[in-house]
Amino acid sequence: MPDPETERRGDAALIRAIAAGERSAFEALVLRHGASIRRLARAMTTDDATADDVLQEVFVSAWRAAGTFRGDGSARGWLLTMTRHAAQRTHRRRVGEPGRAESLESLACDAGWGAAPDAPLDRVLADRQRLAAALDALQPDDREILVLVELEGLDIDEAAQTLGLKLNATKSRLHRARLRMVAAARKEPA
Amino acid sequence: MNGERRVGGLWCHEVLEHLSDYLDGAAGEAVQKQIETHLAQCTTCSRFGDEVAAVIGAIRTRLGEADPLPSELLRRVARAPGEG
Repeated sequence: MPDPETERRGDAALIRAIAAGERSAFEALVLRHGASIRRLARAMTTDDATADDVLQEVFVSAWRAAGTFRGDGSARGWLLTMTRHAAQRTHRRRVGEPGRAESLESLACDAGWGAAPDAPLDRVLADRQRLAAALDALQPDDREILVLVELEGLDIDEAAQTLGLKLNATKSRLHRARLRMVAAARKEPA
Repeated sequence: MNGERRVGGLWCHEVLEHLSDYLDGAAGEAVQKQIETHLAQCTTCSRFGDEVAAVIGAIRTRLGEADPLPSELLRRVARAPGEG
């Protein structure tokens, strides 16, 4: 594993060192970002083994492409974008799969909008496992944007760039994913 | 939604439309104020807004930290390409 001095270097410095073939810099990059990359890969795929393959592919690509990293965006964004592409290649969406066109109001009703107060969500929200199960029950598109924005902390512009979407489309996807997450949490046993 | 109301210059469905932006503080000053006024007087929207905010907050706090890579996987991935 990398020495403390290597671990202290910023992402851009690590990537420059990787481009020069420095192996400890590569290890430091994996150590720093591997868990996030695996989480996004897992959100976009169906099983741990596929996510692990995506993780490996991303870092192989990072090793090979380090010399092309321009540093005008964040290294994390660079890695997350590579993760999306690798996950899409590995786990292609079914061709002809119909898009989901529920109205916003219909999604909101599923999430409890306008309904009489029933069991509060407090117990589900306090339970990491049940919350994770609710997230896992969502479709990959919804999991993906929730991981990027809520868990990785990307702002909406960075998320749009990573997803290759326009800003309004990204906002709309996030809003819908949040509503579906509320609905999924509601379906978890209280 | 049954019982939809117009409060603070916005209908409930308009509050719903802007709810994520509002919670992110990104709805724009005028709309933020209109939604605040609506929520102060519409318990249905207020309760729903609180729930959405609570779910977002719970995702961030309970699931924020990614599980560390299992050590064997970390070793496999961290082995630089080209190494045996």
